[in-house]
Amino acid sequence: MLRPENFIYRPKDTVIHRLDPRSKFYYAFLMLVLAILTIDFNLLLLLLLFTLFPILLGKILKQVLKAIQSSLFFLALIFIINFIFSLNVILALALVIRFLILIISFLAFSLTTSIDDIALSFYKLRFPYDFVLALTLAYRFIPTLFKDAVNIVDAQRSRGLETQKGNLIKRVKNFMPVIIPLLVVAIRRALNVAEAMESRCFGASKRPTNYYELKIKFGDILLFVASTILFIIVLAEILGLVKIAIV
Amino acid sequence: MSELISIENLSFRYVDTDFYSLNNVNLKINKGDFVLLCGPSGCGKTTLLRAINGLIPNYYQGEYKGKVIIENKEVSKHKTYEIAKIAGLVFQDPENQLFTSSVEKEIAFGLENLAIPRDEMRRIVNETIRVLNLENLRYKVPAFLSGGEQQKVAIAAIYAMRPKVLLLDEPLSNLDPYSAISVIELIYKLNKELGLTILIAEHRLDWLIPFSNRIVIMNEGRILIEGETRSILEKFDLEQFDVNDPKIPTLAKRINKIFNLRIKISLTVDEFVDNFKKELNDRI
Ligand SMILES: Nc1ncnc2c1ncn2[C@@H]1O[C@H](COP(=O)(O)OP(=O)(O)OP(=O)(O)O)[C@@H](O)[C@H]1O
Ligand SMILES: [Mg+2]
Repeated sequence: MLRPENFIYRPKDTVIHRLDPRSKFYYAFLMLVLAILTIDFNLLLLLLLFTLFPILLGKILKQVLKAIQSSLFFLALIFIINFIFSLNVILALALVIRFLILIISFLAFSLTTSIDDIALSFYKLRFPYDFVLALTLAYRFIPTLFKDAVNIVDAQRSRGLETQKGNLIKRVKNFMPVIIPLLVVAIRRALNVAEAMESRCFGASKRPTNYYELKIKFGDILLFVASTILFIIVLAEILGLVKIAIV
Repeated sequence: MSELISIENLSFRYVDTDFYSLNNVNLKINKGDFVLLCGPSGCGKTTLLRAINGLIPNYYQGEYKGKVIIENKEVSKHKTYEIAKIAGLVFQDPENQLFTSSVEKEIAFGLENLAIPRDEMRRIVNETIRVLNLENLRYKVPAFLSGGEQQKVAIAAIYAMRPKVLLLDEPLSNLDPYSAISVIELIYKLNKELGLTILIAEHRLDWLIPFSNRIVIMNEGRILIEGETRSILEKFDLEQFDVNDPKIPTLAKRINKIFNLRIKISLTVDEFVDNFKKELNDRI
């Protein structure tokens, strides 16, 4: 089962959580690019090892393991399909590792970065305030709308709505009594939120100030330099310019 | 006492309705007042609060007559944000008025919009958190707090803009009694210690009457009666206005009637007991 809480940021006070989202994103992005560029089993294993640092330092191992657990099915699928087509265990395993690197570097970013920091990064990049706020609002109201949906499903079930029976088309049809009220509830919520924002002086200034600030700290520079060096070395290895001795 | 809000011959009809939700309303509110706004459902309490806060006629359009003046500003001639920072409105449902991911950020939201510089903003947020005793909630996610905590954060987020008057729209209706009382204590503190004028629409008169100095009763968009809390309770049975009679003042009145006594009007149990004793001593 995909459980959203395994993918959601929780405030914690660790080195990784305190890093600037931009440097974290840079790191995750480079890992991603490397993992896609190479298919070498040993190299991928080495990269996987590197992705473990932020997980351990950020104390998110438990959440990451749970997330991997919920994607076991995909991992198995990747392995089986690639094995069938190539009959090469090492290659199939390498592809599984590549997928793991993708998941883990994404999680290293998303589990340790608050939506506020992400939004602030966009704002610093001169994205319009409206867009940035829409982003945080969308994120903020996901659990609320989820709760609304559950309430509506329960209410309609208690009036005899069947959501688990019939063929696909019938099931989709049966969901209409859920979708329509959910839409109404969501629109009403949106209007209330707009009203409340208006009362909190939204729109008073074209360029609002920010309570939180983003500051490039020593750790960010370190991460930036380290991931750049790693990137260059591995890239050189991939291009066959240097040879790293991997056991 | 000096006048803070003055409403003169105000009528308002929402677009697409064929009746006036506010009908020739006149009301003056002084600095430091704690005003209780009551009346049956649909009588126009929310509409009146919106008209003071500037949502009417800016956000809600319709036919607008008369005027609302607050601190020498005519509400209909200003943008919502110019009025909202003087007359802050706390809504009934806390869930929809909390949009950020931490309590401190929530409190800062209005200040951000007003483009207050960060150092100043931090100072105000810290002071707000300290004064309202929200230190333990500071880093929590507003969406996941209990109803009472959410309502306190909503009030803090308005108070951070340092308004002159706090308008509250049924702030207790979603709360259990225990949380409701702690929210009332917070509101009372804002009024007594920090000098904020309070206008609160609420059905639960029993809890609020001891703190209020004035009562306004509405019906069908009009103000029926309005005046000092004690004198209103002495003169009228509120039931005739479709408002729940508050228990303790009613108790005194009933006992007076049955035993032919003259116990003074009382708002709290302690006061009632004192007044009862006095009356008995006088009699003996
Ligand atoms: N946005 C709107 N558009 C049209 N009519 C409205 C709107 N909001 C309120 N009304 C109408 O105006 C009248 C007064 O409503 P209002 O919400 O002010 O009453 P209220 O005293 O706050 O009631 P309650 O105690 O139920 O909250 C009602 O008849 C209501 O239907
Ligand atoms: Mg109302």
